[in-house]
Amino acid sequence: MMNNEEFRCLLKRATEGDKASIEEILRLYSPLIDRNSYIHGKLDEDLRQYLLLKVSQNIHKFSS
Amino acid sequence: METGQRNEKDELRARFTVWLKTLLRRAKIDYIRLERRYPKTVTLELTEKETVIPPPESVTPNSFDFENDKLRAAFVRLSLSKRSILEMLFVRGLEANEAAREMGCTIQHVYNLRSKALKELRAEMSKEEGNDDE
Repeated sequence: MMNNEEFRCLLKRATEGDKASIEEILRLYSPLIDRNSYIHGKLDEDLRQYLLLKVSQNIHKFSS
Repeated sequence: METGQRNEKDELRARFTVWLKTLLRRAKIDYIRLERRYPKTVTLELTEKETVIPPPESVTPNSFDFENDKLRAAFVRLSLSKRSILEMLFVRGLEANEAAREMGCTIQHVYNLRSKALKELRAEMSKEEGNDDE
């Protein structure tokens, strides 16, 4: 578990478009993304990919 | 002082989590809407394999006892499915629903094929008659 300072830096780099940081954020939050990828109790892999894509496309909009 | 800083950063993480949850929820709704509007389709090859059952192979011009050679020639020119429909309906005397079951298609399709086949035969016959007249 990273400390708050590390998380702040990571999030800042991710919002600035650093690919490695975005990947790290996606990895950190993968349980949340996976939980949202279920339709009628079944994991929809296409939906999971769509969510990953949307997060990486929109993360720059988050203002810290 | 230190605890105040920690709270501030914890707040950042919490804010990001809430933001992410909202984004995910909206994206999921978008996805479901798109899915409903453009459902995943099956390729044409697959549906063809499932629905089109080849007509019985034994339909030859000899299935009918043609009295008329012209009619035989016209019959040969029909497509295989039309020939097999005519054979089933008129030689074997099947009902339309039985023929439909055998062909793996709808009853309406059987009627359509029959009327098209008869129309083609009629056209061929009248054409050839016309040629003879000339």
